[in-house]
Amino acid sequence: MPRLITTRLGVMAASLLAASTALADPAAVCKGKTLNLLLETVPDSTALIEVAPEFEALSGAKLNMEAVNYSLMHEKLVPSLTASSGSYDVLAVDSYWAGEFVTANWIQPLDERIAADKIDTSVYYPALMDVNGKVKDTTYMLPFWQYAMGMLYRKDIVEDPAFQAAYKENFGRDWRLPETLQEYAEVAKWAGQHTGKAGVAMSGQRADPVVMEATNYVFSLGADFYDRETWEPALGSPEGIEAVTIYADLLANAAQPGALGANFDDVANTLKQDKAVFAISYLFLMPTLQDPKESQVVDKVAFARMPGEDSLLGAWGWSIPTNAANPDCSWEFIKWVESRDVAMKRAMAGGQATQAWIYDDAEYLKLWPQMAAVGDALAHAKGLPVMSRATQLVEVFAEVMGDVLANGTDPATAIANAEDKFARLTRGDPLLK
Amino acid sequence: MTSISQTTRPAYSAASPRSDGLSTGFYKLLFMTPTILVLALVVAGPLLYSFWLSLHEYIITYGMGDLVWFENYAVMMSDEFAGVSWVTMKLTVIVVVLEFLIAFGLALLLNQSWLKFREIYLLVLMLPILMTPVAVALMFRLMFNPNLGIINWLLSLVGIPQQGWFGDPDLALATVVFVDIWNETSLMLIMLYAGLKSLPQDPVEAARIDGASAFQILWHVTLPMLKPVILVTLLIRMITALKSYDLIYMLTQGGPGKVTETISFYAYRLGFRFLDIGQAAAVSFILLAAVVVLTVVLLRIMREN
Repeated sequence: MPRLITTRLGVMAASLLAASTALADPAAVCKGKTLNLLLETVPDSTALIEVAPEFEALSGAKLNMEAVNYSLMHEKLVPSLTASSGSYDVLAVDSYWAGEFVTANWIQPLDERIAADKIDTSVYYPALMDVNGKVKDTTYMLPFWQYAMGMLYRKDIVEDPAFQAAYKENFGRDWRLPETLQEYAEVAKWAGQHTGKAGVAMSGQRADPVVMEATNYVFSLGADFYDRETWEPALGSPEGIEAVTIYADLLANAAQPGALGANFDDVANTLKQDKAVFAISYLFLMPTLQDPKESQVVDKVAFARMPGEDSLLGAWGWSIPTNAANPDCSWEFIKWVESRDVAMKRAMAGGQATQAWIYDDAEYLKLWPQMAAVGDALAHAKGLPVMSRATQLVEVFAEVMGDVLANGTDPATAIANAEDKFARLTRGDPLLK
Repeated sequence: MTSISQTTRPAYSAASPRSDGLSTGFYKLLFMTPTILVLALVVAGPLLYSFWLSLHEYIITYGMGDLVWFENYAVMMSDEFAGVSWVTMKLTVIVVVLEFLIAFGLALLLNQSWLKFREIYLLVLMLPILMTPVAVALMFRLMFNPNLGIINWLLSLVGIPQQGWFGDPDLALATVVFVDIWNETSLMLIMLYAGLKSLPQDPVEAARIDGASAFQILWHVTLPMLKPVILVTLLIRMITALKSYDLIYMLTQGGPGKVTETISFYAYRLGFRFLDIGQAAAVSFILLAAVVVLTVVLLRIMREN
């Protein structure tokens, strides 16, 4: 007993010492300051809000965190970032805003701070640093949370022997997860008819929901929006046209009612209500699908990598606005929030960690076993091009999809009609030189 | 006791000399100057600035570009602008006509002398206009949700299959119109009801004594007397309908496709999504011009009547 007490005291002393070392810097630059943060209403923000009081206690700063719907974030940020003194001290930047923010000189480079504080950026998945850490070899962000995408499916349904027998009878082969996009479409349509549910839960709402989803189809077939060497528009390739065609076919023939007006919350709700078999969506929906208070499919949904070549990879990164009032305190917050302990706490609370070591942690995987699929998903994923007008690329692709899905325009024609808009987005872009 | 003494006012004209030697006109100008300055700052300043922006190539990401004069206004010639203009016109005409008919019918009903509990009906009918469009939109988004919404559930009770509502290209605009009518009819109702209450009753009584039917009284007496109120009501509602943005933003984001995209939402998209401030300002000025023309035409009609 005395030995245990001694050990505990030793651990406490070590913790206090570690805390006081960590405390020295934040308290010196943050005491009495207020840091304003704009966050999206997602599980990672909830996880952050849970641990935030620790930073306030360490630093003496007050954290003012505003969590809003995704669609509001960009339009709230832009006026603030263009002002001489901004409203926000720390930004969460979506991966496809990164180029725009750098070109407009809205966020600060972090390399000097990283070097001065000896921050190890190799703990992050390299793919995430590429998609939302560095722009043209300069680090502007540290990855906050990732939104790996892939195939969510009802494992209880597809592992049912009766389902597998019917599958074999229909397709003439033993059950397997779809390996190509074409196979996915074929199986999803059939599964919908076989089960009486929607074969696939989809989010066709303009602009971000449909683009985030349909881009997976594009990347799955190896197509892209641009040739990433010449930056000429490339969506009009046969693979690009086929990807859009398959998406439109599934939305019309296998999706839940109202899918054309649905966003990813609707996809989650459709799955949670036991109304769909498949979805191409975010891995971060898992915690909500596993919540018995709101889900009828707890332990019934699994995640697998996107069939075909690649899925869309996105991430949010921490950055400091150029017009931040207290950039040193902002940096202290970023250091703290990305420290090992805090990163692990956020992950355990349902956050989507960006540091690779977390996915090897036995305790973490025991709590979130389905997250073991992250490594595979990230290995077969790529981001939207890092360009100054990637935000507008999303809008233009949404127009193409809207033209196809709502007006019934043939995909090849819709893409051809938008070719000039795609071309204009890269013209004169300093990041593509 | 307090007594009020009446004094006779001296004869007065704008040109009358004052004891300080300064003209009344000078004082008028002096007292109006602050108002004129504030108006210039608050109204004219931003208008002129946005007009100046509309003459420039200005994408926020790249900063202020060259003076391009009226090049941004060439957007008017695009199919895209034609599309959003057509949606705006359809939406405006449909909501103004339907809301007017409903509001006028309800106003006539409320104006009946035999109606009991009038204040309660009026209060209930006023509730929608007291709610912000954002709250209204959120409420109807949930009600029209294809999977969770009460509307589809009610329809399913009578065997009607689930509808996509805001996500269905054939139903989206009609669903937006429905929500708009629910939200905005109260405004027309209160204006028309106030107009009816203020009408003199003598002509109505005279017509009734002369044996006119209720419809004849409405058509030949009430409507002509109410015409100025009707025109103002229609004018105000047409202007607000032309600028429809908040419900569109919250309900459909202009989708599916561009089925519900109005000119205001298009300007918002250009400005806040494409960050193309020059074009967004140009589209806003085109909309402003349309509203001004409409206002002038309606005011002229009112004057002639």
